[in-house]
Amino acid sequence: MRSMLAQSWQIYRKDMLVEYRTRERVVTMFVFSLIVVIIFNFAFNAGADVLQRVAPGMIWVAFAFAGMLSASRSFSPEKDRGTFEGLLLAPIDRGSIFLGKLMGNVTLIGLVQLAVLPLFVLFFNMTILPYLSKLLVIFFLGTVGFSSVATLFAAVAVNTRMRDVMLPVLLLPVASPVLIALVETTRTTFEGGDWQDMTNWIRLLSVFTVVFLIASVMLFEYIVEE
Amino acid sequence: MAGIAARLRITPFGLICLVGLVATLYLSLIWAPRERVMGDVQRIMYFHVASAWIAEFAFVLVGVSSVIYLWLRERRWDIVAYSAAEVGFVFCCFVMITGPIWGKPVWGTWWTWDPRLTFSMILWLIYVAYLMLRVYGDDLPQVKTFLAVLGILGTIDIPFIHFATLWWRGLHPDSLVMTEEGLGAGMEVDMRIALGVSAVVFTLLFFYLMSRRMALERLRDETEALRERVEHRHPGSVGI
Repeated sequence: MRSMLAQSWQIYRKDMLVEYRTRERVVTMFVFSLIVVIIFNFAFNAGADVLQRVAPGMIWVAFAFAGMLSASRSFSPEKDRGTFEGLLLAPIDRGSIFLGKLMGNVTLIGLVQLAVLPLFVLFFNMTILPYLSKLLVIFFLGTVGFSSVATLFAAVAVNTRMRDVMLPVLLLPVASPVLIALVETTRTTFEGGDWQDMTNWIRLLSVFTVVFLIASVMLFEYIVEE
Repeated sequence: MAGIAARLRITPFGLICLVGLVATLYLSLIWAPRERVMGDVQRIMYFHVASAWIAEFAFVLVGVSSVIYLWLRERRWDIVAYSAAEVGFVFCCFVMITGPIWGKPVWGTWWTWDPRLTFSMILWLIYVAYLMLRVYGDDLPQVKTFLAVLGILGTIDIPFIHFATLWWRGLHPDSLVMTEEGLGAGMEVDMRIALGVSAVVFTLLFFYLMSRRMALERLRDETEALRERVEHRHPGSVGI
């Protein structure tokens, strides 16, 4: 277990180093989320009260798409450059490759969330500071749960002919419970609700995250075998 | 009767299904009493609920055979999963079609984001994803493994989708509550019998269609093997 974590840390470090040098994923994700927010604004063309009500949904549409971008880009360059074979040849547990990639995706989505949330507050005139600790917990839980499914399906989709189209088709229906839970908890939080008001959702988020994290680590091995 | 059946290549099992379907049609459309409030349109329920049961059951079958496939790596379990997915998808489509036909006169709307409707919609999308991956990944050697992974994750997901859709709408008291809540309690004995027969017949029909679908898939494998053998012996002789 300990060596697995150490191995995944190495994968994570490598991916983050590549990302630090190019910054292509994080910048694309950030700009993409921003565009989603702006487009949604046009799509609803509504007053402040309506916008505040749809804001939680908007936030998670933006982050779900950013998350898919991140997950997809965590495999496609490796596949195109042929470095993924090298990664598989390394004498490490395949599950740790998955964990490393997952940690990378969670980090990048987290960074984008940190950058985009203040802009949400700015654009939609929302109060966020009193709810910050709650939002952090919800966002972290949901992002880990969403990303574990996203990372697994990205590893599948990258092999197919229609890779960019396949990822959302595979991922979004399976991830829909976590997305519903995220939107509901975010909405409750913004409406000033307490933990008791969303016990069911938090439970669903946690169980989903744990179950799909374990399932993904176990199934990844089958996906990458030749 | 048997002669015609043989000519049409209907197996005895298929014949039983055919008789069952006729009986179901009679029981649900003629024999079962008319619902007092909804009228004759309620009769669609006998087919709708029976298909919904199959749609869910079939996906669990996909999940179970996917686990066995990953474990044993035998092609036949992949065939079971694929056939169950394809036939289950047909029943799921039937659910999605019959639902609005019933909903429009009863609720006054084709569609509402009620928990059960949302659940069926998401299940339908997972079926679509499964079949799309099968078609767009058919050139990949690992596609069977990918599909097994999707089948397993989809099955694990079913309880999560169930609760997510339930709480999502269930928390809103003014949302429409589907009348199936009163299924057991509010229904006449005759209606219950008709629904029971319909569910049993649909289950038989599902297995019949699945067996035919599996036979087709096996024939494809056989053809493929024969073609490879001919190609090996006389290169260039098989055009396709």
